Amino acid sequence: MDWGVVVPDIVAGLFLGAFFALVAVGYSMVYGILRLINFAHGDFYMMAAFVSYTVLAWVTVSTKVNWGNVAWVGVATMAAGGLLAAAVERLVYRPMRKAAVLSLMIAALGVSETLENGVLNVPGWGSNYLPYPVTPPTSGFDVASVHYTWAQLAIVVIAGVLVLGVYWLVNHTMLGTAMRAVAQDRVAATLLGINVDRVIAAVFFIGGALAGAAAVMASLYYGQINYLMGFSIGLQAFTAAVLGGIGNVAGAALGGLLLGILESVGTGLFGAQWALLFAFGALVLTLWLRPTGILGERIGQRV
Amino acid sequence: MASASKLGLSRSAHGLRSGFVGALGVTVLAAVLPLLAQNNYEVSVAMQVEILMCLALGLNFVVGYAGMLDLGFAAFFAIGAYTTGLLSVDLHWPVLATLPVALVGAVAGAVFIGGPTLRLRSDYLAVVTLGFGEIIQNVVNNLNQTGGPEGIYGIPPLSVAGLSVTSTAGYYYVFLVLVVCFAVVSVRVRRSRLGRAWLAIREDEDTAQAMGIKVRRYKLYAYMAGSVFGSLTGSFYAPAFIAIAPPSFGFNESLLVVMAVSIGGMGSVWGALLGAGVVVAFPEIFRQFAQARLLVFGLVLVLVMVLRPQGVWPEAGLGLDRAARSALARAGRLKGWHAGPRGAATPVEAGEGLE
Amino acid sequence: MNYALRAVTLTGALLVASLPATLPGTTAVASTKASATYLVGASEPMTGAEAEAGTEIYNGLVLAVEKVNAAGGVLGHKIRLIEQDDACDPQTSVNAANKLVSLGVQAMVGGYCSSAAQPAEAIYARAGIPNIQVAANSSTLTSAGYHNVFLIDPGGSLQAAEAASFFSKVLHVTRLLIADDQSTYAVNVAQLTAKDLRGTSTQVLPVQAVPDTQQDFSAVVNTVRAEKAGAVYWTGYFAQAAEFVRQLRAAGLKIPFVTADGSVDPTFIKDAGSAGNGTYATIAVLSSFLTGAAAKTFDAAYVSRFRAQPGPYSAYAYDGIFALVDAIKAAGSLAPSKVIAALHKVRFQGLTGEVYFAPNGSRLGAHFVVLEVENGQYKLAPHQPPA
Repeated sequence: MDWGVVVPDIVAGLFLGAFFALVAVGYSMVYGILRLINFAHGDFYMMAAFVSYTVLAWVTVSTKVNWGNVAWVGVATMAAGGLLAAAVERLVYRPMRKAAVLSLMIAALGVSETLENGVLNVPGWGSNYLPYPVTPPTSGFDVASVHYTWAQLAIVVIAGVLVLGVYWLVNHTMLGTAMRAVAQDRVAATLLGINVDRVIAAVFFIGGALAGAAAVMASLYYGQINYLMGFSIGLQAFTAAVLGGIGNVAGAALGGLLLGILESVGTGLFGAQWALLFAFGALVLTLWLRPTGILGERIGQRV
Repeated sequence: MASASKLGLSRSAHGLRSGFVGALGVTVLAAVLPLLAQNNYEVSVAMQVEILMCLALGLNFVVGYAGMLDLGFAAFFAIGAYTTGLLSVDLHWPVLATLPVALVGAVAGAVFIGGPTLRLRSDYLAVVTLGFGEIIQNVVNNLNQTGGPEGIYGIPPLSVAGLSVTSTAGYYYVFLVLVVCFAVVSVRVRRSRLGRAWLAIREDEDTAQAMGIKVRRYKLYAYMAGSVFGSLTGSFYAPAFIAIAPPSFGFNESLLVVMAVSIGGMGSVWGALLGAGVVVAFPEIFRQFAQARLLVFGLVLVLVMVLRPQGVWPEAGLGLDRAARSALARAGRLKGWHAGPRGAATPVEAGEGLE
Repeated sequence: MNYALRAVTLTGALLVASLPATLPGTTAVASTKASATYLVGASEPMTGAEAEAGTEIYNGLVLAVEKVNAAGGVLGHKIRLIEQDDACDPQTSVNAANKLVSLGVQAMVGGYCSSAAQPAEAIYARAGIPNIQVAANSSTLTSAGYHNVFLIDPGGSLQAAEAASFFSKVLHVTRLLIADDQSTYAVNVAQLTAKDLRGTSTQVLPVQAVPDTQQDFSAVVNTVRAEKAGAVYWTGYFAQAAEFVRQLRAAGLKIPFVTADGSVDPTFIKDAGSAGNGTYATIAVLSSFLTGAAAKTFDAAYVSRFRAQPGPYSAYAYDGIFALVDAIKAAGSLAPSKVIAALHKVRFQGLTGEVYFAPNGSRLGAHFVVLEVENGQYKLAPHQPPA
């Protein structure tokens, strides 16, 4: 065990956690409003990455790449991610509104399977690990002999801005209040005149858009996309959301950061093969001590 | 609830007898299947259907009867398979002798994980069970003692009374016996006090607690029952496949079992069996689509769940009598049906409900 | 009448689930003696994380088969390949094997994952047909006692020896970090390399096992830096190799990055970009480095046929078909038992070196070299380890 890596690993973990946080917030919001573990959420992320790949590849062929291009492709991808999520909600989850939660989960699995294998069978995409057309520069700064790039910093800042934006939306706008009302008691919300369908669609859109943002940034940073890339991050995002307290934005963001740190520190101390175990062990311990997650509300038993 | 008996919930003596005859007929048919099959491929797929049926019946206790969401069921499967594998390869124990050890291990695991966590809300329980599944898979993958990523190979065949089972058809029959035993146990338990307690917990935990049922303890019993079935299945899986490796015991496997129970119909024994058949057989049938076979499977999954969210054969029956009731409802007598909180369909008398 | 309906429905479901022979395309072929085609099965991953490798292997098989058929086939029969998905999963692989046997294949050339190949071995053995594994190379495959198994890919020991020699005698590395992706093949190479380096001047740090779904290597890179490793040996596959080297270079570490043959793939070069230059790789002779006409033709033919570069195992797949064809010619018969006997005696110059087999089926004659990436191309490294 090498303690000298702990601090750099914490920083690395914060960076990794930024991606988890973005995806976890979307996951958590969907869960909060529908009690649905949306296994397809990771695949919204994956689809967004592929869409952005195709658009960027087309753009870089005809014009020179500059950060303006990347920015508008990023925004377009967020919209695409949001639209995909909203479409899946409309087509698959809405007809199942009254069904058991487990059935919804299986339907989500079906959507996930469909999206993944759909990409597998598209001729230009397939099973390849496609290189992302744009690579961020590696210029940066050094802190304690560890080199950090400006790109990393930019990613963390953008992720933070997005999460704060969603937090503000949920807690300080009318739409956000409607979302929280629907999450709390759907029937009562209907009685109060809230258009539940529209609110749920909005939640899915936001979740998908956040996943889209994470997808573009991760693809830029890691440089490659693959049709199975959503599975792993989906799982980790869900774990992060539960760790932080499912159903609230701050909890999901915190959970994401924490999970990133746990994984990185776990790798540094025990080796990469034990990192996930370390993270899950911490999760189980946390839930044992705080059954609703770190920032989860203490839900009293109402009989 | 006079209408309850008319719904064919099989609690009457007539229902019991007719259910038994149906089951006997199917078992006889299943027993002759290897003789009807054209080649080893079909027998092998049928055997894998049976394996998933066993696992689905085990998960049925947890998800179907007690209403708890378990996303890490493969952990018990792994414990059974690896215990049998290790003891039979390293210590040369006969497979049957390894069963008690595997069972002890699985139940211990269930108590260890279930004990502190079963009080969690279902979604948190889902993540903890998921974590447990990942932890077990990670451990067997990383440790040299369990063969690491290569797993354990060269597992000796199952031998019963001096006879060794070495053919696929042989293991088909072994698993058939297992399926029948598991199914019979499931049905008997369902009708016992234990089963009724579980049902009460599933329908309304707080009322059950108020009626004197020790909810946490019964939930633990359900989890333990599931672990027993999962572990036994794993113990027979090891000699059937001769080699076992970590990839077979991960989240994907847990999801397959959850899929089987959900598609089939939660809480129902026939449903679990049917769901297992669908989940194993469809990807094989779809081999004609080559690389698109899982795409077709995904679409089918979505369609089935959207069109019939309670599963193909839920506890309340196939619903053929329900079709009749819908017709009656249109005639104004009953309002219709809606799916309850856990998929069991219940009738809505005219005037009830918010629709 | 509920019970009757139930019984009928469940019976129907069981029938549908268990007798796919009723569907077209799955009828068993009785025998191929009278037919004019020689059926060869190819079981490899078509779905799942290893699908790309599966495609590259299959393409290598196709190229070889087309060449053989253009020259008249084997003993007057044209070869027909039947591909089945094993998804790198033991259960799916067993089904694929059973399916192929039921379709009447007289040999199997293919395979990728050792864990999937293991349980399927028994099925091919029972059918008595040659089981030529072109990429799976775990020693467990040859120690089960089956006489019909032939591995084209040499086991990890030759590669490990090459790598160990390279690190201690050419690069003179004092502290080495080895990392694998937890797959059977990578772990095998990693452990054997570590063993070979024991007692030399190269100290091997604890091996890092990075799960194959992990994209983020920052913690591993931190460990590399903190442990002051002088070089990194990555024994996993190309996608992660590209991530690793990119993040290594982005962190400012310029130490040598060496991969095993699983990472030698055009995708590595594309995905790693400029960070990939200077990467070394240990591999059995890659086709483009043989001076014979045969080698150049393979590369050019592959690229023009599939519009893509060959993968690390395409050449092994090609050699696998030719091993089979040579055995058939030597035996003078298509009968599986005669072909298996002939395979044990086969010896020819393939794309990956000389091809012949030890009595237990493992590959002999493969020749390993070290490559270096220069300007986005794999070239022979200037300093090869001593033989």
